[in-house]
Amino acid sequence: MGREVEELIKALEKVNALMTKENLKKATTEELLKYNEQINRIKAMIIEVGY
Amino acid sequence: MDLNSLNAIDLTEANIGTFLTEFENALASEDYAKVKKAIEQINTFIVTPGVINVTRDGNNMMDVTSGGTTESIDIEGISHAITQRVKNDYASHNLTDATKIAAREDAKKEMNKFLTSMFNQENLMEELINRGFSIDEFNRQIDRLNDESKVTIDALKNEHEAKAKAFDDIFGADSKIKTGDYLSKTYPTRLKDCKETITAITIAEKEFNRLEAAINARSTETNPVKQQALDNKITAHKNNLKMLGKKVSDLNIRGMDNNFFVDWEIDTNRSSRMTALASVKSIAENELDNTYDELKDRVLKLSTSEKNKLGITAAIEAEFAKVDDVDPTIKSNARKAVDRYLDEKQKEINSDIPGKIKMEERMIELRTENKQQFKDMADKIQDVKSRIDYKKIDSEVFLDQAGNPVQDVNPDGSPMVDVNGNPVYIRTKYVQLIDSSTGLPVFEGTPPAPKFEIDPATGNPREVEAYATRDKRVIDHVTGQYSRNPDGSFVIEMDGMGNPVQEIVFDEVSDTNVRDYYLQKAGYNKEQALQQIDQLYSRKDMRFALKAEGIGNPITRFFAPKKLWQRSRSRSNFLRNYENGLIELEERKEYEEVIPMKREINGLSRIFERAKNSAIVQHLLYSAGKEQGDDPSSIDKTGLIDNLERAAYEEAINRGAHIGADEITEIRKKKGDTHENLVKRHTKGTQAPANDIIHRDDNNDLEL
Repeated sequence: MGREVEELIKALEKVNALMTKENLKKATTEELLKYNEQINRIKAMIIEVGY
Repeated sequence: MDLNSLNAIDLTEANIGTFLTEFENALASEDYAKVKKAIEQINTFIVTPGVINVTRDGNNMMDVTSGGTTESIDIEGISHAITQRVKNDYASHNLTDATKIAAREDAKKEMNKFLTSMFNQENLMEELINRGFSIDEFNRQIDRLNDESKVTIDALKNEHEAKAKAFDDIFGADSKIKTGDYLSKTYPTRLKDCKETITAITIAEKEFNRLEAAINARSTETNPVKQQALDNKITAHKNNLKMLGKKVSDLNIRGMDNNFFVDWEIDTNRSSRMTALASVKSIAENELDNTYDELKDRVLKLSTSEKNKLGITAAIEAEFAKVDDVDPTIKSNARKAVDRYLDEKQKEINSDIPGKIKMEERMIELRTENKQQFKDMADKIQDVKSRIDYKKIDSEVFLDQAGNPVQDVNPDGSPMVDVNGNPVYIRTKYVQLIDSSTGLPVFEGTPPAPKFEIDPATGNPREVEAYATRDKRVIDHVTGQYSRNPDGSFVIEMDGMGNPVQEIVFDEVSDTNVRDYYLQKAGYNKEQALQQIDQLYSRKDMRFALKAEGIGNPITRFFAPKKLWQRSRSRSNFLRNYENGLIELEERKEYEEVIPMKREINGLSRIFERAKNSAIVQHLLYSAGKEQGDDPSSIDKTGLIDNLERAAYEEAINRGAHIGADEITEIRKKKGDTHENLVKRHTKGTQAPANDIIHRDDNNDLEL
């Protein structure tokens, strides 16, 4: 579980850094949809760990 | 208050205690439908478009209107309090009723919506919407991804079934009947039960000996107090034996007479049972050996395809072959390897694959929620847009800042006219937004009308018309923004003589923002300052500070400290003090002094180490250089850094830090100044603190 958590945190940091309005403007539409999917995946993992 | 129909007033500070008690009662009485309803309503408070968010003491408050009143509620705090209670319920409240389990899961699904605020997913959706991504297109994306997930889930379910069947075929199936008795056991279960039995009997041996000793002591004890103590011991040991006996008989080891363990601790049975313990233990040990042998026989007889289904490699098979080796070390190692293999296989079937299936199901849930969020965001944006007038002049003629169309020019510079001699106006590729309060087009960087400046004589604000002029910036008629040169500087409009045209600059001074006026004069950049402090704090430091401030819950603090950090008081305090410091700076025109950036956790040396390298310091160095006639090499950099250190010490003093006499003397000697003057200049005339013993932390840094 420790290793998964580390990777989860890295993914979270990366995604959060991208989510500013300025950065989002620069991303392609395809990238935006990919980010959305990534966020959902991280949320799903957080739910698993949290409950 | 009724959890089924909450009003805003129920969630205010005065009533939140009652609400949480009611919530806890609902959880305790397993009324999960009510719990879900309460969460649902709170979710509607959060996601309703147009609700105003304000911040108070670092917490995001919300003005919520419901039940006839508008209240400011601590929506973040409430969300976390609820999360904690539901989590505790899962951890400590075991449910057996399937309906109730399902109802609790339902309530949990409602809570997933809290997570949206942890990420800037709204920003992402807003960007998609602004690019013209329609609700239908988004939903199509979601549906496509959900279909893929469903395919994955089916494949995983098939894999699970195949693997579980393969395992059961070879290693047997556990089947229990309602009373808890085993009708049949898998090999892994048999092995585990044998080992537990052996352990239980070993412990029972010790318990019997202690019981005997206590009984013997009791029979000769005369002191009533000690008699009582021994009686207690005897009871305790007998209870332990009873429990052990029950455990072993429940395990139902093959070949074991379970009656042996019934009432084995009572006085009439004890002696005979103790004598027989060793032989009973060897029944379990034999059964363990038998099970390993059977397992070995079974595995070695498997066909290649069966072995492949179960992932039994040649190496693993070799271990199975050695489980009855004469050499005890080899036998022990082989058995451990076999146990490991069986554990991994069972884990894969019972938790890994089901875990992946659950994950995909959750993804489907979250994506489906996205649909609603996207629609809400699109509605919100549409609502905002509809409140701005889109002034559509026929065929979209470009309007300048004064609201007038701009005549186009020919290549030779002459004004452009059409065949009838009418002016040809510049057309835009976009629709300009018109600010409905002024009727004028909105451009990036449009200066607002001036209201106040500070009268240097009195220090009071006074109303002014205009403040200063600057080189006139050219507006790009295609984008509506100020034109920029490749190096990022503004394109300046030139007159016929090659001189820059001047325009009036409206300073952003208003009666509500006098402080910002000073900050602007001092070259304050809020974004940079915030960036500085954010960089100074590691994630670990942030979690520490957040926990101390009671922001977030352990999960959100662990996973997203940076996101929660936006609400930290430490951060906003820093900003406030920094701004105050800059105002003093401007007032005293002491550009070489800088208030240190970080105080709370780390030592002084780290503070000014970072302050030295900060962008703000560089900027001030540059400004100081300009003051001295545009020659950066003429700046006394050492003096500047020294001043930084001095300022850092002073701030520490200001904060009541313990600094020793040596430190003070050092500063004084360096600056040729007195301690009192140093402190007075930067602490608004408070008394200098007494010189105390230096406190240092583990890194030998001064502790604040």
